[in-house]
Amino acid sequence: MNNPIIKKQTRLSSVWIIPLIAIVVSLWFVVQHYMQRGTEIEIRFESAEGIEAGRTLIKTLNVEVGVVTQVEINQDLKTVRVLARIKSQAEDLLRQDSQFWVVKPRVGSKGISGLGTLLSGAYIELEPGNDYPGKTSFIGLENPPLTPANKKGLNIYLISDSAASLNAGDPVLFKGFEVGQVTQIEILNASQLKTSLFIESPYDKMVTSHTRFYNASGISLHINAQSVAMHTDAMETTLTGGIAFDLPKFAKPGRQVVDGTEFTLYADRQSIDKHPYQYSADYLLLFDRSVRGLNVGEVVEYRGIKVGSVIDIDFKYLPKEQFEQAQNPKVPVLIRIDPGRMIDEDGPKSADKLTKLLRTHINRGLKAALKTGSLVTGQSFIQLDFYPDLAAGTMQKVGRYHSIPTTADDLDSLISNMTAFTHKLNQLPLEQSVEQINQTLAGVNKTVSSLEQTVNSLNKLVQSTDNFVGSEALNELPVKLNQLIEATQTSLNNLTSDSGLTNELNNTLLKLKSTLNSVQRAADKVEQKPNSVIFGADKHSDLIPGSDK
Amino acid sequence: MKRKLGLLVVIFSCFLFGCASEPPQIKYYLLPYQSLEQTTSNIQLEINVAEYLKQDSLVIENEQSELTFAHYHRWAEPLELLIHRYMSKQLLKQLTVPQRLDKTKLIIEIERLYGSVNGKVYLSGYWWIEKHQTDGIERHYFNFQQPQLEAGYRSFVDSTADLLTRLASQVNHELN
Repeated sequence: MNNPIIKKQTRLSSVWIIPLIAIVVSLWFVVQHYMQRGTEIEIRFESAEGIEAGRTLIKTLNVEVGVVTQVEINQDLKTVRVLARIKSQAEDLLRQDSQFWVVKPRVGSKGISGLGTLLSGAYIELEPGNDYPGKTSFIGLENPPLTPANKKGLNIYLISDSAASLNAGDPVLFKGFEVGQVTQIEILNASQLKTSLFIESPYDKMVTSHTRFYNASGISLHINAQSVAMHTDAMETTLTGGIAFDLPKFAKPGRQVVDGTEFTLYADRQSIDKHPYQYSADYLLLFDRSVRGLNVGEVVEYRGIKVGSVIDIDFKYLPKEQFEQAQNPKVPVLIRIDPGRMIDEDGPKSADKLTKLLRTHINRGLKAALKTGSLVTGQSFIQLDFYPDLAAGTMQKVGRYHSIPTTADDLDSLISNMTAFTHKLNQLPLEQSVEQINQTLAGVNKTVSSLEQTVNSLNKLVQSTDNFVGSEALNELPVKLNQLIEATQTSLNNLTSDSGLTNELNNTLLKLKSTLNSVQRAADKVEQKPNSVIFGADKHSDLIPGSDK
Repeated sequence: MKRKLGLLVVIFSCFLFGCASEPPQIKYYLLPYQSLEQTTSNIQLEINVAEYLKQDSLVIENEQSELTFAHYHRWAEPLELLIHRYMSKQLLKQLTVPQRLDKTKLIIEIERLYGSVNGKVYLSGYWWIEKHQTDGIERHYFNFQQPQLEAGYRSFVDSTADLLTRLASQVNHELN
């Protein structure tokens, strides 16, 4: 009997292959899951309105790139922390300057946006930036960015005294077309504001060094010595506000500007035509007479050619001591002259050059005069001119401005008019006139003598009339008239109420009235029953009075 | 053919005869005539009637208080003239002091004069004396009604005459 050979099995049973395979597959699934679950990022928002963990998606260009996994309040208790997973294939979008904001329904002056999220629910928009990738912590924006980060265009800044009715998001117009947006408004100091604009490409090429920006909000109405003018830009900016830019009239396009260039923001369209040049020089005029009729904005002319405008009339330009000490304090008027107009030079040094030139001319007799522009409205303007008859003045420094000597020009014009009048008076042919008057007097004498003759004739006429009045025929006239009146009276009496004629007339009238009533009834009958004309009226018998007793 | 034509003529004639019924005759009325002993009069009288009375038809009020204008019963002449004639004679008869109406004029305004199916005859209005002086006018209002003795238009006319006689009495009474 053979003993069974017992072999010790050292190899693992092949049954274990199945659990092994299962473990390998599970591990592969787990690794796969971890490989594909994507990057976890953190976004901070001021509130989590519309965001739900597990449901709110993260989208770029409407393509789903991730999902919110967790929403919690930060430790500062003022902001929320949104944790989200971005798909591994979208990790490249997480750049240093990528931006996140919540897309939800919004109503604003630019219209209604995000209506699609009413049904689908809010989502977070990821806008990838241009920087290098690898960032995982972001600060979310409360509102969508006004200008997309990767959009081409030009960022410029406008400096102004006030930003009346301007808001971030307002349009920037060029000849009525929207070419950009106001992105930000900052306060620089107590009197200056800085407005940031973004001009979209390709319109950024329209902005050159000679471009002037102006506030296009509302309607501007100007009445001055020359005209009445009204100006509005697009209806949208009239209602909501906006900025427009343009080249001043007759200005050449300047050189291209670079990102971050600063411009001045003018109050309206008229202002840029008043001072189309970038550089200008301010001068103070001190008038020793009333400046009534002169308004801020009126023109300054040199012998009829516009060279600047009045920018302010105020005593603040007068040094304090000067007002207190002077016996007859003068009225200060601040004017702005464009060197570009007078010496055709628009640069940083042109103002000094103009001042130097004016100083020379002032020494030769140049003065500023207040002139009446319109006799109807009484508007005045400033005229620069040479007055060789008057003593030449000098340019002085008053406060921080140079002053130009002034004169009262209206009086001059009055005197010259008077001179012309006297001259014409001298030329009048007075001697001839006296001779003519003498002749006229002689004619009058003749007329008077013929008048006497006429009076004599009249006297004769009156005498003959007297004779006529005394005649018998005329005396009999009243008696005959009386007879006539009596006869008339008798005739009238015959016509009184008792007379047969009146009675007859009355009776006829009554009969006529009765007949007309019958006709009226007949007409009524025909109207009620038109066929009664042919078939006769209904043969209803009349009511019998007392029949119902 | 001839027979058919004859039949047609007979039928057509029947239609025409059917239409030709005898209509009631129109009757005309006057107020009763009055003979007078006195032949001279200096009374000036003016009668004015309401507009609806200025026509030939006699006016009757039905059960619903609506006025109907009789077609077959008419005044023989305008009502104003009838009343004027009747009243003139009545006043001549009744006025005890006719001098009161010397150089003046009596004006009578008739507002209501009609009968009714329930037998009552209505007469109302006002009168005044027009003096030459322009002092105020004193209006005397009257409002008479009287049942008529029997049914029918003749009796209505008689009752109207009775009411006018009463009016003349009132004028006489007021003037005294």
